[in-house]
Formats: sequence, C-alpha cells, structure tokens
Amino acid sequence: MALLLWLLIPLGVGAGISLAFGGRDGPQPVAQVFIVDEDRTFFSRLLAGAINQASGIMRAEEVELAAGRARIEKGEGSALLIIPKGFGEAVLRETPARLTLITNPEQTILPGIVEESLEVFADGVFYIHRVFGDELRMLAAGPPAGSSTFPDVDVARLSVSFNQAVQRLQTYLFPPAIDLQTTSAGDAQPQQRPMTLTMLFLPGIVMMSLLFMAQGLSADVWQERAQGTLRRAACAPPGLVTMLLGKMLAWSALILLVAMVILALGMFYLALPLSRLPAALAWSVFSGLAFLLLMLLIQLHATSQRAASILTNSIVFPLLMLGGSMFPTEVMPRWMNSVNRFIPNAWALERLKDILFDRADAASLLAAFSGLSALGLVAFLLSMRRLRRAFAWSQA
Amino acid sequence: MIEVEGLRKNYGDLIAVHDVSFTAQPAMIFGLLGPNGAGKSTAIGCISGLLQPTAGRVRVLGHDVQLERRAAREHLGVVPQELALYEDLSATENLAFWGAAYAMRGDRLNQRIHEVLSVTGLLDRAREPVKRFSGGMKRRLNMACGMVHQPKVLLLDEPTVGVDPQTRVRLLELVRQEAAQGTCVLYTTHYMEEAESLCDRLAIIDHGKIIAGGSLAELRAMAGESDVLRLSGRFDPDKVGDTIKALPGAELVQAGADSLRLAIRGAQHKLPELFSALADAGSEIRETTLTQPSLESLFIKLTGKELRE
Repeated sequence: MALLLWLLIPLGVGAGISLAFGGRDGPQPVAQVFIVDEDRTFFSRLLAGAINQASGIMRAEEVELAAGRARIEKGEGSALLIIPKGFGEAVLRETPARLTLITNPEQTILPGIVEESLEVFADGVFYIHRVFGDELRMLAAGPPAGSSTFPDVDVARLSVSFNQAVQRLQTYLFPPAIDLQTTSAGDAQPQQRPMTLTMLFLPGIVMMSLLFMAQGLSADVWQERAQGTLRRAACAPPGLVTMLLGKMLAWSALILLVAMVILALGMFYLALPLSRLPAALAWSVFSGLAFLLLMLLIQLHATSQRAASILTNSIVFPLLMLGGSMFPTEVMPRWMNSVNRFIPNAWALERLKDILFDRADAASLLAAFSGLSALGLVAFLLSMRRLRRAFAWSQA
Repeated sequence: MIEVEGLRKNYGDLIAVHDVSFTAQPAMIFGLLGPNGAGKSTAIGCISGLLQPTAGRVRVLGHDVQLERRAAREHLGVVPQELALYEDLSATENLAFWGAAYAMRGDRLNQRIHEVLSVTGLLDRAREPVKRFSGGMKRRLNMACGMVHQPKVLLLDEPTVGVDPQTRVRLLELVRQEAAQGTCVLYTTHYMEEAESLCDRLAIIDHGKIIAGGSLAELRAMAGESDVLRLSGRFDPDKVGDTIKALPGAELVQAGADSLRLAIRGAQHKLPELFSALADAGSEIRETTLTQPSLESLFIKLTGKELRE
C-alpha cells in the first residue's frame, strides 16, 4: 500500500501540474517586458522590435511610465525598460545613453535574460559603429545648415560608402568565414523541443517521491523496536551495522523500482531520450539513500513514533517547497533560490535535471555527490551510535 | 560457560547492577531469582552484549562479550522477555532469518528448523504468519528463535511471563532438554516455584546485588528451619516487638500497623501461645498465612519483603 502511495501521489501531482500548465507541450517561460519609449526614434523602435523577435523567450509591450511602474510592482511582468529621450541620437553619435531596466524582484532567471539581451544590443551598436562609424556620424551631423534634407551628392556618397563597406564585409560574411557546427556524441538527437514547465516538474516529482519514501521507510525502525527484533539483531553476531546495511540494500531496490516507474513514464510522456534513464536512475537511488539516512537519524532522535511522524512531516513539506518539488527553481523568487542552495534535495534535484536535459558537468555532479555522501555518512554513523546506545534497548 | 566478574551498570545516579559475580557451567541451569526491578534484565543485557557495562567483565565460552563480540555472540542464544518475532513472516521464515543471522545455511538450517518446530509443537502451523498465533505459540516460537542455531550458551529472560500453565510446562521442559544436551543455561525469573523446580544453582538478586547464591539445598539451609507467619489486622508495632522477643524460637521480621511477618520454628505448635500473647498486647488479628521454609522465606529473611512486592 505504501509503495502505491509513493508512486501515485507524486504522479498524481505531476499529472495535475501538467494539465494545469498545458500538458506535454505546455508554455515555455516567457519574459514579459514593458517598454516606455520616450525617444520614439528608429533606434528605440529597433530595440523594442529586437526584444519581440527574441525566439519566443521575450515579449514586449509598450506602456506609459506610471502604468508600467504599477504593473511591475504588482509582479505582472519580468522587467520595465525605460528608453530615454535622446537615445537614438546617442546611438548615432556613439555617445553615452542610459537605459533604465527595472526588474521584478520575485523573478531571477527571466529578468536576467532581458538584461543579457540588452547587453548584446549594446555590443551590437558598438560593432556597427566600428564598421559604419563614419557613415553614422555623417547621418548624425544632419543636413547642411539652411537645408532640411541631405544634398544628392551626400546621399550618393553615403550609398557608395555603405556599398563599399558591405563589399568589404562580403568576403567574411558570404559565405561566413567562421562556420559554427555543433554535433552531439552518441545518438543522433531529434530536434530539441523547447523546455516547458511540465518538463521542469519531472525531477521535482521524482524528488517528492524519494522524500516520501525516505520518511516512510525510515519509520520501519519503530516497528522493529516494537516487535523486539531490533534487540535480537543487536545480540546476533552480524550486529546492528550489518542489519542497517542490509536494510539499505533492500531500500535501494524499492527506490529503484519507484524511480524507474516515475522516470520511465515521465521521460516517455515528455519524449526525452531513454538513453539518459540509467544515469537518472543511479542518481535517484543514491539521492534516495542519502535522504533515507537523514530521515532515519531524525526518527531515532524522536521520543516516540508519533513525535517522529510529526517531526518528519514538519521537515519534509518545507523541503519539498524550498527544494523545487512543488514548483521549479526557474520560477522561484530570489529569496527562495538563495535558501535552496543549502537544501540537500535541491542539490539532488538540480543534478537530476542536468542529467535528464543533457547538461550535466562533472564538477557540479561531483560537488553534489560529495555533499550528499558526506551528509549520508554522518547520518549513518550518528544513527548507529543512537541505535547502539539507547534505541535498541528501550522498551517500545 | 558464563563468567561474570564484578559486573556493574549505572544509569546516571541509579545503580542497576552492583558488583554481580557468578559462574554458570555447561549442562547446568543457573537461575537468577529476584523481584521486578532487581536488575535481572539489565544483567542479561550486559551478558548478551546489548548493554555496555559500567565496570566488570563478562566472558562467554572464554570470549569477552565487549572485546570479542562476534566470537562471544556466535555461540550465544538469547530468549528475551518481550517477544522478538516478525509478525508478518511465518514461523519457518522467522527461524530461517534468525538461523541465517547465525551463519546457518542450506540443509543444516532446514533440518534444524524442522527439529525446533517439532520440539516446540509448531510443526503444523509452520507456514502461517506469526500474527495469527496465540500468545503461547508466540512464546514457544520466541524460544525456538533463540535456540535454532544450537547455541552453547542460552540466556532466557523471564520467558514464561504471561503464559498459560500448559505453555509454561512445555517451555520449562524445553529448557531442561537444552541443558541435558550440554547447553549452559542462564534463566531469570521472579517466580520462586520455577526457580525451585528448574534450576541447579541459583543467585538471588535484589536492588542490583546478589544477596545469596548456591545450590537449592544450600539456599534452603540458609533459609533455616523457620516457618514464615504472615498476620494482617491491627497492631501496635512497639508492643508487638516486646511480645515476640519474649517468645522462644520466634523472630519478628517485619512489623507494621496493619501487618506482621514472623519467622517461627515449629509454628504450627506455637500458634495458640502466639495469638494469646498478641491479644494481650492489644492486637487484632483478621488473617493468618503460614508458609514453610522456601526460597521466598529466605528472600524475606534477607530483604524483609516478599518476592512479589
């Protein structure tokens, strides 16, 4: 019965979330950018257009200043960009201009994307000046005094100058002198679907199941004590260490079974390559064991089984919330992200994400592995101490 | 054999076991008799290696139970006071599990399981889950799990608590059979009758100390030839004390406002004289119990209270 609950609760939560967020092909996270264009020139409109064109990651909406400030404060968008009067002139003349970007403090990833995009735009302006600087300065200087338009000779000179610049660049651009090709080692990858919220939830569902299992399986020690079998095992030649190691082996098998069902179903539903399943399973089993040992330590230090249940429940649910199982870290407010770096299930979840979405690197895996191993080992040693000294002997 | 030297176990300020020493030989049943809370279970815990003694040494078959844990435990069987069984498993599965914990395997284990189920009368229920067993059956299986690996030393901590008389007889017979096969048996109990009928040698323990030890005959001799007379009613302890001192062959063991306990040699002949003297001292007697010399009388003589208090 417990096994069914460990499977069905997370899968049920996952199914609900998936339906709520549009199923398998649900929406990607999009940065909503409010733009206050006080300049209203070609270049300010070019900037707004560039934001809208950004591969579906950003969406621009022109607003008035007061309305934009109000909406950002309500948390309706990711950022408010204020383009000051004189921006276009500054771009032409390559003089400093200040863009004001007000970000939503409850988001971290999406405002960061907007900020980086603006930096790319600024870099783009710099390099355009390197190539077309003279021409742009000529345009910036404006028509001669006493005339509202450029004389034909100046227009012709600009045209020839642009044409010559393009011809100079032609040798580098058509075809490109640097051709970037990306290949993946191993299986040929199907065309990658963009990351959806449902995909981001899958690792969280796995961690949810592992934490519930850790809570449930670790409580087994109370039953062993009540049955008296813990005391008999303590008197047997193998002792309590061997008993606990044997239990860990059995626990690993259960974790493997549950993780396999959830991961296989999730990866099939989300069309993720099943070649990543073994690594994901191995990581899940390792993480699950670490959580189990931590929960066991908590159980052994409770004064009764009831107290242990209350204590573990009061720990598990905050861990789920802060660790990214209830909602992904990508959409968490900054304060939650700064807290979850200290939470073991968040470490495990992020690395599982890396494995599933093929972005794992050895350094971060090793760091998380070391952290969880150290916690697990300390929990094991302290649990053994507690078992030997008091728990096995005490009356149930 | 079991050798206990100067065993001591403290829990903070409480001394649960205080300098206990004794030796139990093979093919013998050594009893540890004492009331609840005397320290019997704590002593068993130290001997089995479950508890770390505060001081002293325990050796099982020459192996120190703390320093040579594995070697000592290999030949040690423990039958705890509380049941220690996996209720969801069958009797066979429980025995297989605990036999395997003592490195028994294959045919040897299967044969031994069959033997043990047979002597405990559980063969016909061997495949049923233990949760369906009666209390008596669970007690028998509990003992079987402690014996399945044919230990050379067997520790039994009050194994007959709460069992029906029929099961008790069966369990005591099993213990005798084990001893007859050469096993060194250490048996703790607070039932005097069990100790008297079962044990070859005994130690009486109270408040963590051994207050008397020896064979049954030696202990009975210590108890003396006095009968124990218990009286309940209304008494004046001071006047009663003076009255009893005047009676030859009578000793006042314990006096209270509503009860008296006396040790009297040949009490059945002295009762009329005694009652008359007590009546002169202003006593009112409502109930009288006369017990002949026994371990209980020895316990009362040594501690001033009954074994079952």
